[in-house]
Amino acid sequence: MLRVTIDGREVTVTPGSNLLAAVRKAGIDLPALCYHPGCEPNTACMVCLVRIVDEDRVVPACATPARDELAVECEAAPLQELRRGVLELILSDHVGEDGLCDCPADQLCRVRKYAATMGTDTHRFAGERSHASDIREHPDIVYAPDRCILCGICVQICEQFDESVGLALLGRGFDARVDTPLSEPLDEALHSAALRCAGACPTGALTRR
Amino acid sequence: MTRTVWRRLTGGMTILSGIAALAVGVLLTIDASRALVHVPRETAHLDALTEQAEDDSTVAPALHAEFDRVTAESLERDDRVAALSWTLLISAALCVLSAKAFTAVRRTRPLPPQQIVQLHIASRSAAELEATPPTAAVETALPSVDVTVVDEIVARVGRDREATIPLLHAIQDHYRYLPDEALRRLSELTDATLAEIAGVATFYTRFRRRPVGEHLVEVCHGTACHVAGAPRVSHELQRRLGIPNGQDTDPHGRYTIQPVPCLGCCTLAPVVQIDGETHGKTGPDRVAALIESHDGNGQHATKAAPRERAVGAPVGEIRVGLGSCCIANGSGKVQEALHDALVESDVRVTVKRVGCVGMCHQTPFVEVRPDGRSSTWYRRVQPEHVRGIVKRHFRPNGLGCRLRSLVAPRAGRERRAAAQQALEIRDPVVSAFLGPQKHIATEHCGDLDPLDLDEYLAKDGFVGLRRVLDEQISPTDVIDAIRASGLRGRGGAGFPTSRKWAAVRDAAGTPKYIICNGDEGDPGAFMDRMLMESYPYRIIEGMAIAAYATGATEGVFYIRAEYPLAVERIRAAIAECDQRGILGKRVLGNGPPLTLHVVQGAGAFVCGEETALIASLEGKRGMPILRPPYPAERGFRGQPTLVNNVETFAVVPWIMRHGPEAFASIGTAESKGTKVFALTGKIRRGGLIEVPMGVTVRQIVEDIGGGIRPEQTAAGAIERRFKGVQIGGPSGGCVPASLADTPVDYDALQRVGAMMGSGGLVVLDDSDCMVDVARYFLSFTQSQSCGKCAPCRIGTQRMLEILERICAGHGVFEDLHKLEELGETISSSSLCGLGKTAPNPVLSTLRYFRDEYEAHLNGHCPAGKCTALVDYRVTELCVGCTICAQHCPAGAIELKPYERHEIDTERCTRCDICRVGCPEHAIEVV
Repeated sequence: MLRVTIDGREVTVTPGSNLLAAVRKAGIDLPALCYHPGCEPNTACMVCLVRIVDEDRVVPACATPARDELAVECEAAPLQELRRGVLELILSDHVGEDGLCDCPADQLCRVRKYAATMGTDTHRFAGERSHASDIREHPDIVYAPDRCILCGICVQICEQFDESVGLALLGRGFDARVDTPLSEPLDEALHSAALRCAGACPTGALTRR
Repeated sequence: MTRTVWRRLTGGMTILSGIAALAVGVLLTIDASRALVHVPRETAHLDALTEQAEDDSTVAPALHAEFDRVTAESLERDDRVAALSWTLLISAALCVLSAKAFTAVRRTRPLPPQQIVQLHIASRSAAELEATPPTAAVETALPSVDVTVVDEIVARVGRDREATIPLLHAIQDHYRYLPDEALRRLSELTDATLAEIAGVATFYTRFRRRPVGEHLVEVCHGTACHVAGAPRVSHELQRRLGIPNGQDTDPHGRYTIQPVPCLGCCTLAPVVQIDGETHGKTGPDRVAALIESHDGNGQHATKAAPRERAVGAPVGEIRVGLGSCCIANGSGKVQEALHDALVESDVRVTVKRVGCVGMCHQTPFVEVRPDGRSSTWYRRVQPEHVRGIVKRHFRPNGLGCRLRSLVAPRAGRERRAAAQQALEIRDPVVSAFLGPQKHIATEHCGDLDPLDLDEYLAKDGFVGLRRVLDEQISPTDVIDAIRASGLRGRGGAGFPTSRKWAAVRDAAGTPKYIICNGDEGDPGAFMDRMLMESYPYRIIEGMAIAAYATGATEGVFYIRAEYPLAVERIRAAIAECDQRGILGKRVLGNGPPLTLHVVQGAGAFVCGEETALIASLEGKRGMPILRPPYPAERGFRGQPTLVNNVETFAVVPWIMRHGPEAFASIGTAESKGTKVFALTGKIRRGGLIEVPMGVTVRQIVEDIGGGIRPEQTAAGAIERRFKGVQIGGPSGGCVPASLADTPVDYDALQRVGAMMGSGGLVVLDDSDCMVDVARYFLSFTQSQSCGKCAPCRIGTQRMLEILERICAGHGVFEDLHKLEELGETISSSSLCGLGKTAPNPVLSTLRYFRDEYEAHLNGHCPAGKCTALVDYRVTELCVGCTICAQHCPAGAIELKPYERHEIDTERCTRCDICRVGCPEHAIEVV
């Protein structure tokens, strides 16, 4: 077992665990959007930032393996401020027109959840949003690209399920998006992985019908 | 009128007037011959009559009557002759003219329809261009594609995941874009899935997803080109070619415009490349001529096979700098002209290709070295100077050649023109430029033929490597030597090289890999391109030493696709080394094995980041991953991998040859050795320089660069003021003129908010807007962001939006605060170096040029660059010369001779052509 100190509290985790598990074990609900058990860390959302005290480095907890005797800072004000800033940026490309997350009410959107608990300012970094209409051609799921935060979880799940077409991360910069390759129809792109993707999506981008 | 009618008309005229001329000629001849017989007879008759009248007065009346008759007849004849002569003259002239017109019609061949379209496009008036509806996009149905070629390409290139990018390059080479059908076929044939292929194809900007016009026009948007007016060039090209807004190809499918982040020919800014041919100094006013000349010589006349040069022992050597920017400036043509001139005078002289001389402001550069005499340099040589240069130094061979040279017209003038291009090595300008430099990575610059291995060997090449191998210096001792030399990574961040090497050495796992990072994506930088083009063997030697020290046995050169000449020369150099046993199973015959090969990038700045570079080598999207693990532990193919920059490898042989102490004796306490910079921008003497660490920015700008270059306008030069330097590209910052005494040192530059970066140094003057420069860099990093992590993807977009708002005059005071907040957030939370350093250009300009930001908030751009905030106006100095009206591409100035002109602000595109072209300084920017 590895002993890790989180903000002065010592927790033990099994070898191979990451810092996110250690922080959660210490009872802190550290926000994390792009992490999914069973997938490689995507390091896409960058909201699970913590500081490794000895190295004075800020790292994403989900992608940093726990080490024995490691001291981690998590709840310090500058870190909270940093995480809130990143979440506000994500919100600015995710929220609905009224400044609020418009994911379907029955879908638990983790962006909306953390935005509420962290007291984010939805207007601070407001700007241009990516716009795309919902894709409803699949019998089981609906894809709303403008709610997608590009976490990459569904892309990995498609790979794990050996989908012959699947979903892909396309483009670059602010134009980067998750979509079917070469605009293949969604119902031909997703078969066995469809419901798994909808279940793992941290927002209301991929939802069950 | 049709050609046939015209032909018939002129033909008929020729015949008719010919007949008329002939007839009149005959009449004239008859008349003349009659007069010849008649006149003496009449004269004799009158003489006889006169004699009679003297004797007999009664004859007098008859004599008078006879006189009258003869006079009348003579007058009549004169009139007739005059009329006939005129008729003859006119009909003959008519005959000649119509015959000429007739033959002219026969000689002109009808234009092929394509060319008519070209001429039509080129000659369309500004008003017509305006009238083109902006949305007149022609949605051509994509042609169906024959995918059997893809099968052949896969059979040739390979089918594993790593081959994805080379495969896509090959497919694009064939179709000129990547058709969907080809990508689907590719996913069937290779290990990569369709999702992976589509991800890669949409990630790299060199890959085109739509068909391209007949000609590809690439406009460089590097930093130097940007400050030299690249946006205006793009705009003007788009207008001139009639490309609708939001499209990249004209409706006729003739031209496609594509922006390129940087072509690395910064001293020729602004640069445009048409179908792979680079054109330098192409301001908006030169766009029309450029397109027309390109239309004109679309099909190059096949050159007659060159005559063989004289044989025998050469009597001298002529060196021509042939780096790719020299070639773009015309040194290739100079080399051809030299060959022709030497054939003509039958002189035995070796023409030698040498690498970059560094004095880019003087290119094309030629050095003449006659045997036994001192050498002479010639700068800015044009093909027409070449014959004079040859004649100045070498006597033509053989009597025939000598005679021809003596009687040749203009021979004296040619020699005098050549003499004017000569440059003294002791010229103060040259010594100021070369004096403060120290050549280590660029040793023997302007001296070495880049690909002549024997010459490299003769000039201490591979001595460093041989010493390591022959003296059996242990790998740890090599690493210790590098540590003692104080060498830090030249890619920008300045990580100690020895620590990287030691980490790879100590990492478990075989094989180990070594990668030379030649993905020099920084706009405004071309050091690595020049090193690869000019000194390929030196870099290979450095890599071989590093491979020996780290235990790597396989190596890769990852080179930008925008650098074709570098790719070509490195490939040729590796092949030569393989053949000569320098690389291969045993390095230099007694060392460990090492094989090297070249992989081309595909247009992604982020691939300069080492983990992204490795992802790209593995055939993936070039997205960085979190470090640790560092590539030294787990890199290419999951194995320990050393990634170093081109320049880092290029200085290693010198260190091993001269010893680490020699290297460490140069520079400052924390930064040792030299640094190569691409000195560009508003400088008198731009070029490629290598300076010892510790020289100040001011020394570089003022001593080496000769200070700020005055702006050239038709009314004369305008003195400009030194405002600052942009150093380190998109990761670096602006150092203001007030801090120009900052030394070139990793830590000192970081303290002032800039960064060494890979070595781009763009000098800015008071006509450059710092807000615009910040906006330029943010739009660059935003488009180059890999899109993976949210702070970089969304944060840079938000910063860019704010900066665009400020440049458009819609900024508010709170925006400046927001920029700082965003900058802080992005730099502390981004995943990789690109994101972490992306805010630097904004933060550093906010720090030193806040007044300019504030001026923009008040609706004023002090430098007059932000088009939304400036208007062009004609002052009372206007003399009504109409030059501005003639040259305005937007038709915004009405032609009013001898009157003060006016600019229609609505139509004005702020292209600046009128201001630069006005001979009276009568156009101001307000």
